[in-house]
Amino acid sequence: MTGSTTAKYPAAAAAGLPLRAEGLGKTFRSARGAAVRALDGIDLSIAPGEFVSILGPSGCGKSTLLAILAGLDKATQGAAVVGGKPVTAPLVDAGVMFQRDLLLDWHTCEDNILMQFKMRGQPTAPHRDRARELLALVGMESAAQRYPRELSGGMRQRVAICRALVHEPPLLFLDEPFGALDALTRENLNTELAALTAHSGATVVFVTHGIDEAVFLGDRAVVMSARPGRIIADVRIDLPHPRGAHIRELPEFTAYTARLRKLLAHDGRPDHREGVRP
Amino acid sequence: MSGTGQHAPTRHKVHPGTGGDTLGADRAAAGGGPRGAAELAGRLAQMTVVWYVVAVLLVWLAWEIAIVVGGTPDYLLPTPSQVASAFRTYREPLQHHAWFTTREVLIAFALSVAGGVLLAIPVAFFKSVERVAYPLIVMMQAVPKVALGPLFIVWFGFGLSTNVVIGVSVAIFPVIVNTALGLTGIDPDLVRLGRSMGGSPMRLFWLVRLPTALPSIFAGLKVAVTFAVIGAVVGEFIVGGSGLGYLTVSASGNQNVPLLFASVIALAVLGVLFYAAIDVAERLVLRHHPQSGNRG
Repeated sequence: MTGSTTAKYPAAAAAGLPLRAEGLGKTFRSARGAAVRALDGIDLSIAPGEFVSILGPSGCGKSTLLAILAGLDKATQGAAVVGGKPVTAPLVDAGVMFQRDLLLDWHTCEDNILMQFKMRGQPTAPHRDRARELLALVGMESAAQRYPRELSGGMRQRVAICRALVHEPPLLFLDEPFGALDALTRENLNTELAALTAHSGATVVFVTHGIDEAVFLGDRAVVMSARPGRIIADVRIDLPHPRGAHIRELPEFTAYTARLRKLLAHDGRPDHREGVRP
Repeated sequence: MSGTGQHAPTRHKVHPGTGGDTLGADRAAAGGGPRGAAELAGRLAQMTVVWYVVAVLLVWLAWEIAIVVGGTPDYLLPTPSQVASAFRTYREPLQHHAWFTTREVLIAFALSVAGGVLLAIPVAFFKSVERVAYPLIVMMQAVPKVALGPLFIVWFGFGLSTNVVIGVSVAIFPVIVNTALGLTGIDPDLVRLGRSMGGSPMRLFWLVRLPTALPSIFAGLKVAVTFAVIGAVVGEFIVGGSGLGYLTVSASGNQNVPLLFASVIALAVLGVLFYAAIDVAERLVLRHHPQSGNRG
């Protein structure tokens, strides 16, 4: 799935890891003590280097699914398997992004990116150049020594992307990373993320409720039902690589978004489902 | 929510000119973006000092009016000049007792910070400890510390250590409560992110949890330093012998109202200086933290 490699991007350093969910389920107790089924019988297989968008209505458990795959949450049924091994602890060879950028206010952008190594107890000096290189790729070379509070939401999230990629992880887990951004910034970041992930070779799980970005970025779009979250559709997105802004103009792009919108509208309704919100 | 589009600090030179100029400059800059950290601290400190001076002058004016217009007799309310001469006459005892109180406050504050932060860690990280600790804290805080004074005298004798213990007994609670609050108030996603980076609980604590808790800890320290002064003075009332608290009691007993005023003023100055020291430390340590909560 690699696109044509421009000289701008470093060659893929790590091959992506395959990822699987086998009959994965999650039940938790609500505040009132009732058992709430968040995820039910999730079977999903993701090939190395594949970019999979996970779409679903709010509260369908898609973030929980991502957390379980990343080893940040535990399944109550079934298992997550990464690179042939069941996931039992947080996956440390992964890059993770959340809706909030979670930058540390007291560190410069560069040091925030290098947190990735500091947390591991590794020296940061050998990676400084790589951090600057990534900042340059997202057009923020001049912000390396600036502090997060001086930056806009979009710029902060760009730094968070660099932090997720700096250790060249074979896996990327992105939980609605652009959910809090305005439409224009979101589209720009989509384009930058497409280029960065295509060249990193990482396997990507991308949770979103944005249909456009799910199609724009994904090799596949997995659609989940409202609680309890089940997979109701798995759509292969056959759009050319590399993904640039022009992709959105293609009639196929519109066809994919229309199809996904229909799938979501059909099941996303808060209708007579038995799921109890805590 | 993430920070809004703000711009790089622009450095203005601060002119330590006339008060009026500085005030005007502060007003003009107040609407701008973040400035250099040291400069910001300097400007705010300057502004704060100006208002402190204004407040003191107002009190002085009211004082003079009470004497001249109200005709309050000077054995109840001495004139400012009488108090000023008390400062000169009793310079040595005032210095001696102020230093004694300063030592008590410093020791009590240091012990409260060290003990409070250490005790807050188990409270923050173990639900069961928190459940037991909070009723204890509430009960301990409900006890008037003055009532414990005689007991502390039995345990620690008539001296500095009893006053320090009383100081700690009041000052440690805001440190515990605010530190625990700061440590537990962390965004759970930030902890998840740290774990995905391979962070051990130890590294997560030092690199993320403790720095995140700092604004809350400093709020606790500001209360604690004020409480430490109160505790020390209460101790001096009961124990006697030394300290500005003792000096007020002794001056009152001798009907030496100018000295009484002088020691109260000295205490007020001490309290303000301690508070200001924490305030400056806070601005230096938290210079990169956003002014108000940044994460939603």
